[in-house]
Amino acid sequence: MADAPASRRDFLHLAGVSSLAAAAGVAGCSGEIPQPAGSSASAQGSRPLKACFSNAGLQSTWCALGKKTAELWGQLLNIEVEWIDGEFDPEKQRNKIDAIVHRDWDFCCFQAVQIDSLAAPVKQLQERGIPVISMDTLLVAMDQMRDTGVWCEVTPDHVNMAEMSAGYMLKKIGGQGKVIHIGGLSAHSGAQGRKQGFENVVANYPDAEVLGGGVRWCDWKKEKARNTFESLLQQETTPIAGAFFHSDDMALACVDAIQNTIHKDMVISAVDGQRDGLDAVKDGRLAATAVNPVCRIHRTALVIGQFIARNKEAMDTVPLEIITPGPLVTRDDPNVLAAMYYLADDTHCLV
Amino acid sequence: MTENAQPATAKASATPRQIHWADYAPLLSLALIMGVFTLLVDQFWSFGTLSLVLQQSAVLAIVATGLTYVLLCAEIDLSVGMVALLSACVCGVMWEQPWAAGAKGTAHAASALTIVFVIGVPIVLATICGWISGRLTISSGLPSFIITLAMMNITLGLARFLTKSEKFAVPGVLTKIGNDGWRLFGGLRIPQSAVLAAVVMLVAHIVLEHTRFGRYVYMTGGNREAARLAGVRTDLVVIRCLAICGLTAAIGGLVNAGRLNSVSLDQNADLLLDAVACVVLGGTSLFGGEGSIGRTIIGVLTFTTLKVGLNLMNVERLIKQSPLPAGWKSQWLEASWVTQFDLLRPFLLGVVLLLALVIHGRLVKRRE
Repeated sequence: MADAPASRRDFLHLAGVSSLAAAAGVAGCSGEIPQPAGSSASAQGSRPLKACFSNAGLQSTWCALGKKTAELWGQLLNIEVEWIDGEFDPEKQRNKIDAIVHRDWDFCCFQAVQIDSLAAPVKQLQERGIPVISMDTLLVAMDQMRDTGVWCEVTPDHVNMAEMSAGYMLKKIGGQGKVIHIGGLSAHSGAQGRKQGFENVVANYPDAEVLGGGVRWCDWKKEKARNTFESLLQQETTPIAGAFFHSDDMALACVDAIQNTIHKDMVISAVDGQRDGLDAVKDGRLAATAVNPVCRIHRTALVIGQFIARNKEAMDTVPLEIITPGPLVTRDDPNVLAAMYYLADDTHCLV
Repeated sequence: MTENAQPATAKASATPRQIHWADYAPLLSLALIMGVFTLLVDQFWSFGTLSLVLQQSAVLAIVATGLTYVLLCAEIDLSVGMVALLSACVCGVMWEQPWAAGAKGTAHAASALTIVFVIGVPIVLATICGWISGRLTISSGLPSFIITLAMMNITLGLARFLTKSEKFAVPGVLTKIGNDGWRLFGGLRIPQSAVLAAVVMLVAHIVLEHTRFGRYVYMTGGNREAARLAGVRTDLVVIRCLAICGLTAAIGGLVNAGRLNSVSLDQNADLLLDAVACVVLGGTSLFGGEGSIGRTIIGVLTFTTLKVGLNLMNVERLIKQSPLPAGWKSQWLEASWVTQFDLLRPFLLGVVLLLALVIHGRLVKRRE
């Protein structure tokens, strides 16, 4: 678990590096700087690449920003991006992907609604020589990725995000008192990672008591989170010190519930760091949010896909897993907050 | 018809009506659930829990009210959840326009007229959606579940198109209704949303029980052909009921958006099934003609009490406080059904709902 100044330094460094890499990618592809040996002709000069993208569901603001990122950076890199909405339904996503596997693509990037649900179409794409990159959650188990045809997994570090956010909350409450842990979907590997991260941190604070028997899974649903949260508040006759949510959306749906109660001073932290989360940190409704770098994930998948396609890279030269870090945003460090407003803006789509 | 009906009514009132368990099954279910949770949950029988039940039942109660009308006509409206969503989305999108409150709903103050417009338009729109569903159900001769299934997709599609998956703020008055309340005595808090739900239900009850339209609703659901032959314009009754359902769905959707401080596409996903469960739990027949708003209140309270009770239940604490031998306690505390009890909550909710509905169904069958 990184402390705030370290994570800020790391973040600014990473943001710089990533921006440079992105700029180099764009400039390199447009032929303005010399191409490395073995690389293809400039992106602008060569035929546009065709990429198929799908993520869990555009209902979520996280996924919607991912789409904007792929489309924005696709334009810059001369890649035609075709989008398939997963609609948060593994069956619908599977049907849609089944319908496109016979078409010609230079590469595909998928975030599966459910692990293994897209294994068969990915295998078909592999047989046709089309590289597939997995985003955020695993398409298949890590040890089966290459056999199935998944070249690379671009993922955030869910455990670390939770460790940063929950760690900040626990420090703020002095490491003692009652805390609430509201989880996403129990079957979601990201939610499992966040649960792990929270438990790793809370284990260091023996005086912190997790209410409600541990994590309360709310399936990423705001209504369910609010109802569960209210129930936990109602049960306690002494103030609850803190709460950790697996998503900003769930946290923001609950913050009003503590107004005019004995729990009004509760320290609330969450994960995601999208625009609303940043606003909530700025105005003090949230103490902290760890950024789940949606733009970085989608952009990295796109950039790697175009390198594979344009440079004809071999599967074994591409790393199996690429972890894209995100910073912790708090009011204590306004520079990170200001940077995030710029980097996560949908006209830049950088983090 | 009135002439023929009067002697029958007089005869019925002359002989005392036989009391049957089926009539009280929903109330018994509610009492049983409350009794069980009183034993299992610390301080379940408190004003705090009552406030919680009122808060969490308000949206459901509003939506279930309109659905009661539709079920009484022997029809169904599968679009309530998405109509509620569309209404909230229309409200949110309009609210963030430059002529209203602007970006994030905080750019500038909006006039009272603008607020009324921003809230009124989605309500009218949802009523029109319901009216269209009713009109098409009647004119096509297709079952209402097919037409409203299509309407569900249409409204979801419109909501997606309008919001482009973005989150939108809603007017402050909705946030107040969704979150604020009046503190009375002993920790009792009456949420504003519950008061609104009570008003909606009261109006719906008066219309249903004390107006000609209300009687026509029962007649249409009880025996549509007989009602039609008696001169009731059953087609119009069905259309109006679906329009009322759209209206209440819109009010419910707006209150829910206020409660959650915003509207986004992931809201109201469970609203349809929860509302149907509430109406049926209250004893309103899915085949029409039997039921009332009073029963829907019981259904909503039963369903919400069950959900709240399950949420409040802490098995770990329960085992620790129980007079069981220490060996058993430590063994049970490590068992997966205790450590992962949270995952069992939907299962328990389903089991209890199923039991309540099956028992009620059997009692009704015996009565008949």
